[in-house]
Amino acid sequence: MPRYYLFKKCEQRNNGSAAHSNNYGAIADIKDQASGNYVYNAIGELNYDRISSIDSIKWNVYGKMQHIYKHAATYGTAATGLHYYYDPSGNRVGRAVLYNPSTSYNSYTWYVRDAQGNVLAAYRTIGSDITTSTLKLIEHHMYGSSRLGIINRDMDVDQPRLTADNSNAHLGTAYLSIFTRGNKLFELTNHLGNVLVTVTDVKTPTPKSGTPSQVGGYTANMVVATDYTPFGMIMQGRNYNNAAGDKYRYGFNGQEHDNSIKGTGNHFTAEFWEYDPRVGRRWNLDPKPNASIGGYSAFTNNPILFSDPHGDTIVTGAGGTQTIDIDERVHALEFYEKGVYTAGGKQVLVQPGQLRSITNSFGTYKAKWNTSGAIPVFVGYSNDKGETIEQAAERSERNAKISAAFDFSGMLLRWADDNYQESQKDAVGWSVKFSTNLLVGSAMSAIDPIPLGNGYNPSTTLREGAGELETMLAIAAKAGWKVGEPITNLTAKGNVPAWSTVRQRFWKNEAFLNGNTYSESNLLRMQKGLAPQFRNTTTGVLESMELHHTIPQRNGGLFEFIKVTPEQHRLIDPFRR
Amino acid sequence: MSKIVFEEFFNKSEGKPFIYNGKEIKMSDKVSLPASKASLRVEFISTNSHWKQGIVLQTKGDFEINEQKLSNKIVLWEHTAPTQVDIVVKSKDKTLFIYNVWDTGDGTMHYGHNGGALFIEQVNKTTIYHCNDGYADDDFDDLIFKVEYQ
Repeated sequence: MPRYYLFKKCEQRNNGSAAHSNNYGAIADIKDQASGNYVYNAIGELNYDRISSIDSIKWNVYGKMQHIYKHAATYGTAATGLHYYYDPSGNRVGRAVLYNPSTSYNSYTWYVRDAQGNVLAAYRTIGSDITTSTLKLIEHHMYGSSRLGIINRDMDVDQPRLTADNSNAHLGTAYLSIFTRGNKLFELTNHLGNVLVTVTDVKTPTPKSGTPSQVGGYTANMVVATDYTPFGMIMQGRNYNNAAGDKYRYGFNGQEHDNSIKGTGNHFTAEFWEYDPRVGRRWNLDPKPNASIGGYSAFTNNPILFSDPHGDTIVTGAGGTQTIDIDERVHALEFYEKGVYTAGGKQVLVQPGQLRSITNSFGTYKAKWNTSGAIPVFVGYSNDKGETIEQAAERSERNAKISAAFDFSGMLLRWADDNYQESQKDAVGWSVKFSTNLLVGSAMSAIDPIPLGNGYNPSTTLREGAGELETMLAIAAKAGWKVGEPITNLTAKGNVPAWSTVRQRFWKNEAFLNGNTYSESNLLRMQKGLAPQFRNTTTGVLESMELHHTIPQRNGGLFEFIKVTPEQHRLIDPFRR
Repeated sequence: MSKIVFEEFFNKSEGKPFIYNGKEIKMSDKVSLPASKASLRVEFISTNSHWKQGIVLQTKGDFEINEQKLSNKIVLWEHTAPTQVDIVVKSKDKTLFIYNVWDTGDGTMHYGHNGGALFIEQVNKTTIYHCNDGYADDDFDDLIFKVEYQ
């Protein structure tokens, strides 16, 4: 079977020769391993890791790790067994740790999550019997646009929240509420979402220079500081932990570490993977495989540029929502409404909510279309003189007076230059692509405010500050479909579309949204809902591009697919007909 | 820049090479190896494209790279592979295919459509490949690489 080679690619590790061989101090790199250290089950999930004293790992049918059986020799202070619980969405909702194999579990942790899977709180029981043990609220999570940190609680939920105080007979019963500083931990992350430093809500006064009896300033109370190697292992000699116990469980890529499995910082977990940062490899196969990259590799082997917050899809940086700040004092934006537009006598396929014109201190810049081809092609925004905003800015001698506007255009240019490719891949957030097309003026086929297919998430909303752009996301799973709209739309009768319909929608949208990638003859095919054709470079035979379901149709998959060549399809799907 | 769609040329020639501006344009290079085992060095010279470029080597047999044995086909992507790669080819039919692939950012390995084509320049033992990716032009500078047989 052909295989694709990528440097530093990973295949199943059947021996330790490819792993690190050093053994350091407090934070230990992975040790030398004997041949056969790793064993996988028939579907590629790790079920034996000798060096980590893991005798076997049980996975459930959804590919989630359900139980770890540790080697009996580690019985004592280390966990000998771990069990995990999941909700119907696949989010982990519980973890049980067994220390003594002769009894039942000794510790249970339960996660309370919101509808999107964000952890809101965690509870823990210590003891062998969950029904009689003390249940404690151990932490609350704090969120802004993303996780800010956690509040350690250690609160017995069976006891009254407030302590009664009857010491003053004249006042009756008072209730004491004690606020303790230092339990609130804030995480400071880098561009990948890696938690580098954790500080508390305690600020320590420092003496004023020359007058040491007075407070001159404050220093932050740092409790955890961690540097990571590129693939996420804690760097020896560059880590610091002053938090009692394991009070901050988030680290590399913002993911939760599970120190019970194989030591401090040596295992991270997310919705779709179990990850070993020491070898930079996942325990299970990538649920969204790429034929040219090994199924166990992470971050496409580029952990500096990419992160993988959920363990299934790389995103640039830490992912999340991208926004463009628009200064409404200076600019006016006009958007296309629902309706039929024409250019040069030909119908223009415009998605409602796309940017139609922009007005700033330089004037008004309208969307322009090239009508020479079979379908009008969007070519950018320009004013009546044919100038782009950039050209007008360069010409203008009034830059100083209109610096705000220039900053705006400059910002869009930088965004367009730097983030166009990456924004297309951002499956966590959504892609504001109109700015790319806004100024580059190349033959982009159309404005694309909503990524389709794998990247589309109709539940995603814009953050504040992008006010008017919200109209772009007003297209959710509605009834009926037109070119440019999400392929997930219901049919006009309100039914879930059949696969043949979805496939046709996809290729029509592909022609509409990524037209510059294909020849006109292929565009004509795609506009009819047919796949583009190309020649096999070695045989010269004409072949059609295909769609591979990452969740098989027999398992209910419909919209979860990727575009592949027949050869790639044969590689990744043994059931391909 | 003129819009040249080599796909149309290949459709007319049914995938066979043709002459364009005095150069023989191919979809891929079919190399007849002198022996079933051959050593070669692939070196990226330059790229000039918005899209990621890759080199495919394909044979009925195995490739050995960095003491790794890989069957039938390898892809060297410009953003992950070293500039120079030494490869041992063990081919059953002494035939090696070499061609250009590209990734437009959609995760698909594209080849053989739209503007995709290449021409070859032979300098002694070195073969230099001038490749055009799917973008419809005829500058043949999207990927330039060379292969030296040792």
